[in-house]
Amino acid sequence: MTISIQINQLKKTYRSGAKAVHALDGVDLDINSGMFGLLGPNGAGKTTLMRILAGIASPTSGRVVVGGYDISGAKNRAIVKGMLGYLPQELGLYPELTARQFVDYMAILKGMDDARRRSARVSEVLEMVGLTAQADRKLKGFSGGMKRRAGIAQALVNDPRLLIVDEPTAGLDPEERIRFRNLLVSLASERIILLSTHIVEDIGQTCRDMAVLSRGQILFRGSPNALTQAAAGHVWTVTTAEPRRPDNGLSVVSMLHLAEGVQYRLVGVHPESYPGAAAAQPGLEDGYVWLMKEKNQAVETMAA
Amino acid sequence: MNASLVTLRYAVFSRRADQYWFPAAFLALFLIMLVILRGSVNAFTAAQAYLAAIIPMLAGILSAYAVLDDPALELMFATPRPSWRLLLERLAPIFLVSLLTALGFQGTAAGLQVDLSGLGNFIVTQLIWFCPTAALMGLGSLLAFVLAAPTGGALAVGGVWIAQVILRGWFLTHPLARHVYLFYSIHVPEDPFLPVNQLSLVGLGVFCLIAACWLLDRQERYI
Ligand SMILES: Nc1ncnc2c1ncn2[C@@H]1O[C@H](COP(=O)(O)OP(=O)(O)O)[C@@H](O)[C@H]1O
Ligand SMILES: [Mg+2]
Repeated sequence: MTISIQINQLKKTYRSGAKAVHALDGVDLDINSGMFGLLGPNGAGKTTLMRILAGIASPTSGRVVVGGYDISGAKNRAIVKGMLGYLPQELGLYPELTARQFVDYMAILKGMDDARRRSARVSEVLEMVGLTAQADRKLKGFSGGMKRRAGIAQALVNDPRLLIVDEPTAGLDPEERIRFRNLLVSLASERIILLSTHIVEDIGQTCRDMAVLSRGQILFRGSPNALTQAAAGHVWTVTTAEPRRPDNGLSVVSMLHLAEGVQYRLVGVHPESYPGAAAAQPGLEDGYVWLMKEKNQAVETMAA
Repeated sequence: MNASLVTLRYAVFSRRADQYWFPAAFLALFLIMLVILRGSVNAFTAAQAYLAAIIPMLAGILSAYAVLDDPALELMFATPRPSWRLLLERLAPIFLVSLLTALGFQGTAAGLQVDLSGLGNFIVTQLIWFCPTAALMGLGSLLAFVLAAPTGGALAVGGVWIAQVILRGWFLTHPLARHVYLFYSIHVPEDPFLPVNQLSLVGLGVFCLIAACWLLDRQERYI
């Protein structure tokens, strides 16, 4: 059985003195499929949204319903927390506990009081995340990727119908990142997974449904394919021997050092000043850059 | 093993070790003093100070760190565990340490033949440390949540303790303030109002804990 999430006109304003930050500025979003990607630059409001859905932060205004429960009431919040697994962006663990003890502790806090069933479930989730061999080692010796997997294990221990993971691949090396994505995909068949990230590849390889969040607003909602196609006809490659990188209203998505010079991948309306420009097939990253450009939002691209 | 016992074990072992070194160091220090002062009236004074002032101070300071000084606080908040349970589960090890150091100290004093009978019978002696400890554990928790900072809470509760040490005369004579004076049992152990003082110290602790639970519910203040 799956659940769904409805978000209506959600706003979250942080106030410090006279200054107000609109972290979420009228978000409308319905989520009901297996793996949902929330893409946005740093400071977009992703963590704020994740925390509200997890029942840790409360909205300034608007309505959030998770699995049929409006989370504005404390009682409903507790119910939602019970059907939730959450992996926060800043994952702190207890260095002196082993992976098994840590997951066991979280299982107790999630209300699993029966020792036999809990112990079996803890072993099961450690197996699911591939930590069986390291289960009885202290967490302080774990690598970034292993910590993240221990984090997923605790999130899964109550067999949640909704799994919220906030920037889970940040800080992982490329190999760990791929392993972690594959792990998430394998978990998505039985539950909603809500994945937030600022890394385009994370989404392209895993999600069939996604949204782009920037400055607290949803700029795009649809499939990664649709986002990619939006950039069709606006992607070019230019090879130049000059060390100067192109601009003229174009965004550099990536660059490649070739024997005959540097090949730039550009996104923009038209490459007027570059007669040698060749049209290219858009990718998801091009679609994202094009969207942000169109909406006049800054985006960190390859350009350095 | 019973789930609440397992919880207590994890609550103990997930904490940083210095939380337990502190009380152990003070216990050792005062036991050494007992050995040195054995036979003089100062041994009694040192014992009284340890039980009635040092144990409560340590418990108050550690209580300020009990919940907020937790590396996995956000994970904790994402579980359906109610705030009051989270708080009590984190305070339990601190209370346990207070209890064990108090009893360990009294046992060792008896072994060293230091006469503590002047403190009163067994129960009365336990009230000497228990009442101010309850007050400062509540206050430490509450102040940490008010300031949303464990170190701030620890400094504030330490400040209250020092202020009470310094302003002894004022607290002892003020008609209301004397009921929340932490060191009543040291200075006026025979006073007929001692039970009122002890009851109101425990009451203060309970009130602070209830207020602390209410504040802890505002989880986003702490992450
Ligand atoms: N507790 C807070 N107090 C004040 N401002 C905050 C707080 N948390 C986040 N913000 C601000 O809200 C905006 C969105 O932050 P966040 O949700 O963390 O974005 P993201 O996760 O997409 O990087 C940022 O401008 C950030 O500085
Ligand atoms: Mg974030």
